[in-house]
Amino acid sequence: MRRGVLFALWVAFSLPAACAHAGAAPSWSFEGPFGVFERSALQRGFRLYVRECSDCAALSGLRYGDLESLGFNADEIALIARELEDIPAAEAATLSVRPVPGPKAGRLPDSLGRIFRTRGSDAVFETITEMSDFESADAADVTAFVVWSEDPHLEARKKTGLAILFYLLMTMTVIAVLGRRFQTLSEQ
Amino acid sequence: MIDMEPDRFKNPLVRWIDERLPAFSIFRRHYIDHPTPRYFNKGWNLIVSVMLMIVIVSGLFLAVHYVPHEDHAFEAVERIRRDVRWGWLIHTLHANGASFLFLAMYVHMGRGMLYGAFKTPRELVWIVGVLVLFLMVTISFTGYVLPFGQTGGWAAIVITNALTAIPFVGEGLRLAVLGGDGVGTATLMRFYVWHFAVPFLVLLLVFLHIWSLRVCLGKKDGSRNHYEDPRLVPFHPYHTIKGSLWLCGFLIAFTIVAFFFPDLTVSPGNRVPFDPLHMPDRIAPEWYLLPFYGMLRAVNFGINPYIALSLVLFAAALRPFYTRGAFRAGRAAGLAGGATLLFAFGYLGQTLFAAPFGVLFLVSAKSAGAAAFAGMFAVLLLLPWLDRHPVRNGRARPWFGAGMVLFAAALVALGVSGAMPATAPWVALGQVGAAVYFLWFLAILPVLNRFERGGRE
Repeated sequence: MRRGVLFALWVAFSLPAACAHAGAAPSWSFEGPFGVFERSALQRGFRLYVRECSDCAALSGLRYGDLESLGFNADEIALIARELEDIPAAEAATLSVRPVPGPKAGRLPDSLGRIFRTRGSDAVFETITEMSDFESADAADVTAFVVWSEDPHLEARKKTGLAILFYLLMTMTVIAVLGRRFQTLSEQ
Repeated sequence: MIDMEPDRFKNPLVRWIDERLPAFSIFRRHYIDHPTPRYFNKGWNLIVSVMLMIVIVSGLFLAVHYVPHEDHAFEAVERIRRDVRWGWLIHTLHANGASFLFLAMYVHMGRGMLYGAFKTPRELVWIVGVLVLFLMVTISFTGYVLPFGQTGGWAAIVITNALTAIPFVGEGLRLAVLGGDGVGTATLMRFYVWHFAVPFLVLLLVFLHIWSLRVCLGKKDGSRNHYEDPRLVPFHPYHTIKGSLWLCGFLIAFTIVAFFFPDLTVSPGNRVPFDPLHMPDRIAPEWYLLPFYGMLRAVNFGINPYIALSLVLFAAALRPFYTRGAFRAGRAAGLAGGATLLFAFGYLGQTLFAAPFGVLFLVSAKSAGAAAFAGMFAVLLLLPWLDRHPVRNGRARPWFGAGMVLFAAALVALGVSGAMPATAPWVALGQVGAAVYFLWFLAILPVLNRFERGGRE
């Protein structure tokens, strides 16, 4: 039975990867049960996005304060705020990020975040490569940033999930071992 | 259950309370010492209870942050996901918990049907359970609308439109439920109150469900159970251990989905704000309501006089199985054959030529669909009087077992047809599913009562 559970776990985690079609999209660091964002890719993606994106709808929920979890420290955030919008450092933490249109933006649609929520990260990557002048590596970083901005607790969620799975498997083992005594009794 | 002699507990505080309110005695007798047959599976009822608690508790936390307003509802849910501390956790537990609660309820009900758990004297246990299912359907539907996404908002429009099929009060009921002509703040307020309040009615019904079961378990029911083992074991630790293992296994599956694939059971269309001006290509409920939605769409024809007469002939063919009267194969076959021909004539006539079939409706297509939806629950409520076979355990009845597989296939067919666009092949699949669903309850079960081995005659 336990072997069956482990097998089911393995299948559940490996199936989506096996089913993914072999397209142009790169393999994402944030996929899989142990997947995390690469901070450097997020920071690059953020800088590219705020400078080049023609529309800002996807970022309506993002505040300068949130950039801390991208790996920027307070001074860097203040610098970014001043650079982008000329906002005083003291006010930056509570204000929404408003990217400006840039030369590479092309015909990017309203909201890349919405594309991620309805069609996934590969669709975001394909949209960026098809409809803007970003190179493939840049598009991948922008995609990672868009995914982060829509699912900022992805890492915490997976960590919590793994902890709960570990706890449940331990509990199951303890109950199964302790319960074996009664199982044999009831079969007599 | 209530008027019991209290046990003598050693702990003075427990004893003091128990002499005045025998809660400890009741718990001990029913969940510790209770003598239970070995073969009972205590897994799924425990799983349903735990999932219900997970969904209710996470829902209470969500309710603190939710705003039932057309301008703020979608943003409120987004804020819960992003900004509220541990908001992502309560959101995923609630959204995916509903799916797993329905999964557990369906397995629990399926096992109840298979093992004859609804048979005398446990009819009320089953009936209260079906009422809980109905309330859960309304609760999950209102919950689907609350985030005010595209599919949820449009589902509210489509489903409340089906309410107008109810004669006389339908139009008024639709206005009362929506709070106006369109979906807006008034709708969200109403759905929020329903979604918040009715779960507590469900808790009350679950209590009655368990209470009735406890009363009936002690009674002799006179049924013959092929697998029955007269040896009894105390509830704790035998069933508590078995149940906990099943529960852990189920929660592992739940955790994998809720924490690693949190969007798996949530419709992508509901992650886009509601837009009353643009109807989405696909309007469908969550997977667990698809069979009900499939039924609403499968019965897309009105009842004209030919179809009505064919239903009467079907009833006449089946009459001996309900009245236990004399059964003549030739007569029944003639009636059923005539009914089938008449139904085909009425149905094809209606779909191929509008007049004179189309103007002669006794019941409009919309009302027939709504009646079929209500009928799905009605036949479930009547199940204890439809399956009266004296052998309780369905696994000891090969024909019944095959019928259960057919019944499950009908539910899948209805679900698939509900998920797919309303085009010819999928609607036809749903119609076959709908026919098998009702035939299973109203024809196959009564026939098996008479002819399957182990029966009375």
